[in-house]
Amino acid sequence: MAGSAQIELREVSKRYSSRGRSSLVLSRVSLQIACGEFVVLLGRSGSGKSTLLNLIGGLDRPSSGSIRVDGQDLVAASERERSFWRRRAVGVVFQAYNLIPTLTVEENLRLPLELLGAPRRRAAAAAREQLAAVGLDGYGAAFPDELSGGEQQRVAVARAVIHRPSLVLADEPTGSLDLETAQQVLALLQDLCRERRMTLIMATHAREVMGMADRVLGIRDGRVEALAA
Amino acid sequence: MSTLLLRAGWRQLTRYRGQWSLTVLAIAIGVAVVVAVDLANQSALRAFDAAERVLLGAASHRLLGGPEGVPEEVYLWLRMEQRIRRAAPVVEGRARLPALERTVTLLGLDAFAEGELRMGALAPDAGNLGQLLAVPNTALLSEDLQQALALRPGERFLLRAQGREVELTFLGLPAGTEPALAGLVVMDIASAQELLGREGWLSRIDLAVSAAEAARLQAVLPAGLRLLDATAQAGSLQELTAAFRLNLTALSLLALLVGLFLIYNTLSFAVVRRRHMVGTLRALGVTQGEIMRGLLQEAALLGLLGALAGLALGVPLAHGLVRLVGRTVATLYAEQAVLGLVLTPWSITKALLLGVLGTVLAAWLPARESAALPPRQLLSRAALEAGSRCWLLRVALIGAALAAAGVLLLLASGGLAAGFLGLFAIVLGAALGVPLLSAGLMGLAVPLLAAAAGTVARLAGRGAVASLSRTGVAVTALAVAVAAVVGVGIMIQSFRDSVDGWLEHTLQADVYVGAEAGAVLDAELVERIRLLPLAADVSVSRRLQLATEAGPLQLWALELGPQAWRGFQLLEGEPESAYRAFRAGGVMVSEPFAYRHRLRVGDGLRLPTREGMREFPVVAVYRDYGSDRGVVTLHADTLQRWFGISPITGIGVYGSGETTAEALLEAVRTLLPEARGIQLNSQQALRQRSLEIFDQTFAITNVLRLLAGIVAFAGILAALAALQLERARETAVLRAIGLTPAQSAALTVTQSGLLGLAAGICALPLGVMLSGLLVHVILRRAFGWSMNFLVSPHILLEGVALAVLAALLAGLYPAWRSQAEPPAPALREEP
Repeated sequence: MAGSAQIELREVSKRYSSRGRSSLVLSRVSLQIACGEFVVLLGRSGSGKSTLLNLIGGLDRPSSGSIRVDGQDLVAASERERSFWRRRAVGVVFQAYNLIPTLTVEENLRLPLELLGAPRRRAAAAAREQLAAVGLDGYGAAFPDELSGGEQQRVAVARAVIHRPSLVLADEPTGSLDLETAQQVLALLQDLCRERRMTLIMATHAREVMGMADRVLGIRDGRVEALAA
Repeated sequence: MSTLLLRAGWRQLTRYRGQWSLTVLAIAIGVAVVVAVDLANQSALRAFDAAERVLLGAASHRLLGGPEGVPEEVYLWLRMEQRIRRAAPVVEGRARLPALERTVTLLGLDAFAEGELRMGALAPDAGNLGQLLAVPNTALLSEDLQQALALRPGERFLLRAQGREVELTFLGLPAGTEPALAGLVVMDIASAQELLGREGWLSRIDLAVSAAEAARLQAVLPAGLRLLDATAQAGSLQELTAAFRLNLTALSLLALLVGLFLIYNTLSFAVVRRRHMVGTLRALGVTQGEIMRGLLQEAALLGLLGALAGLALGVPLAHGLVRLVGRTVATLYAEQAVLGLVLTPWSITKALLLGVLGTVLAAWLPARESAALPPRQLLSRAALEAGSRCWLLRVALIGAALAAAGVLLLLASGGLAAGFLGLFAIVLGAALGVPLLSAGLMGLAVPLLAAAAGTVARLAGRGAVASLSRTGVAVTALAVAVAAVVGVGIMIQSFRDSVDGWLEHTLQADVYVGAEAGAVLDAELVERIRLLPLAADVSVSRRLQLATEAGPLQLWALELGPQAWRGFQLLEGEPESAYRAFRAGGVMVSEPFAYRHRLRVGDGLRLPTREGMREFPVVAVYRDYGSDRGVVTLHADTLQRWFGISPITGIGVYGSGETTAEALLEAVRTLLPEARGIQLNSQQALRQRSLEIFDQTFAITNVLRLLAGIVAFAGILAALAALQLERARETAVLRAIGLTPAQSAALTVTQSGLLGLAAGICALPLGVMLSGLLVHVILRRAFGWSMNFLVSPHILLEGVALAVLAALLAGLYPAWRSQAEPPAPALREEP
């Protein structure tokens, strides 16, 4: 499944400081992830899974080390460059869905496309198509708070992949869902990523996901270690 | 209550220091404005009181005569025949200090009589009042004059009265511990009589008599004399300035109202921000009462901090206001009172109470709502949003009821206080409809925005609408502040336009000659002007003041031709018949005078004449913005018949044919005597000067408008900053899917601008309504003036621009924060 290295982290450390105290969340992490790979990050709460995702997604900067994704040096890139890269190349799924409450479902899906400059009509057509793909045909005019948790997360998955990014980051995407719904969402996410050859990195502490992944990385005491291949 | 609960609240305060600093700032500015206006008002009242106390001394009554005053013999009659020992004659008049180009009050006192009555309050520091009698051409000066002239005892200065200049020796200051008097020159009574040309006459006699003695005296008073209660007289100045002070107080209360809106808004945010904490505490068993007490305690703490900061800001602000108030009061009402800032313990207590109670009151509603919600709902954001959306309609309905009550109050009572109450009820009621109207306006704007600029713009629009449940009160505060700016702006413009129109109509002559205090215009000068080939007609006026039971009354006697008569805008009375009746001995009254004394054409007006009280028929009511006390106008012949001859104070010269004002001005100038103190103005210059005085009088209103604007700005800033904290996670999500920092900032600024635009548009009907009430209710009831109502588009546009600008400026900091904050920490937080 793995191709050429898409993501490369070298000696990456991340330290948080608050009220005079600092804690090392990631310590000298080095890893490579290939294009189209499905990687699961396993670890306890507070182990640094979300931090690692944020660093790979350019949402945060490391305290030291270098991160290259799609050949782009994320440490050297400006905030603006990282924003443009993110809107083009990254899709994100959160545990709490994080749909924009003041936009309808269809508008939420159109947003990444319109940020990329897609004409409104084309964006709307793509949104409807994507909604159908996640089984929510006809929900376009609804607002997020009118949907169930599972439905909201499916919209979030659709939003993450609608602009065909090369990398999808999922942070505990099933943490708020019941087992059955969680499995449906996971299957959907995996199918969409495989179908479109997108790299999927998922942070979770749900061990049942391990079987679905190409690679499982464990995070403990700020260090990353391979658990399964 | 557990200290842990207090600690949890306290930590919430310390964690969001910036947020709370803005709340304290909003409270502080609101308190500062109210404190400053209160201090200025109190200082003005104290100054009037102190001046009256020194001038009255122990006097209980004042004996007044006709227009020329009290004959000197009456004083001897009082002492010798009526055996009244504590009586002091007074001569009072206006004079001019050429060195300062300033009009002063010249007071002539009898050294022997004063000791018993005024207890030496007006005696010089060294020696006593007797020195004035012993050394000829000597005078005491109030401290302000002594300092302005830089005089030491024994040095000389010039004083001009009745067209003559005399050199006087400065003896010292009037005694007393406080510098209560200003613009005052005290001389021996005989010297003052000579200087003022009032030999044989007194302005009044001050008496200290018991009620029984007064009753006995009243019964034997010679014709033409009146015995008045001195304390009632002293109150007349306070009454005169009551409307002026009430207007100031109303403006300060408007600032407070805006401040309370903002405090409510910020505290609502605070409550919303901690809904999770409150929900968790409730789930743990903390009672509603404990939650409520905790929130109110925090509010009281913030209120106290705000009030202390408000006091610190308010005192220097009050210094500035006292200067402005002092200038207006001195110009319009009282030249002898010294206005200094007086800070009393009660003023401080009031400020602290206002800050603390106002804040607790503003916090009470959101605190109660929060404490009353079941824990499950507190923990659910969706339920909270849904709950906060329904209040828009509920609040608008309450507002409509309040406004209706205000209208009923205005219809039911004609008083000024009821006018202000009604005005506040209507403005507050209408303001409560602002959130609903804003939501409607922005609902309309969202599709337009989306059509023009896509989903991001739609996001901005929807965000602004959704935020109304939180920012609604700040938007309302901004709308009220802008409505105040628009309303007062329209009111001032309407007033100015009316005054300008009145001046244009009234100033019919081409050139005006006026006598300053201390100067005289003689009849010979009038005749010489009349003979000028360039002059077609001349009108002559005499202004004098009559002492009456209700305080001083302005009389204006005119000798005028048909052209000058056209200068009167009659509000009641038919011009031709009124002119005939006026010439035949009737009087015209100005609009404020008619309003104050409830007079109409056909009524009678009783005035103290040389032959005792006499009733004059009112033949017309005319428009006049020159005096809010009101003026009684009569023909020169009527004056001579009933009040005696009075000096000419003004001459109006009408040019003949094609004569230019400049040529006429030069021609008249050649006829004027050498003595200074005579003003010569073209019609245009006089009009210009009058409008300058008008603008100066309203300078204080501009300051208060600015302050209301600052309070609103601080509120919007606090609301937006809070909203940004609230929406941090949402912003982070947008950043995560590729919104650039600049776009994120633009989103915040667009939302802020939309809120400002909505506030600005809502402020327009509110402002126009406010100005209508100010013009047709408040000014009418306070001063008796009716005026044109002029709504000019540029004031409305300025209002909208001000709202948008204030909101955009307030949005800058939150926008900067939104682009500077990295998204990762916000994404890490619990939703």
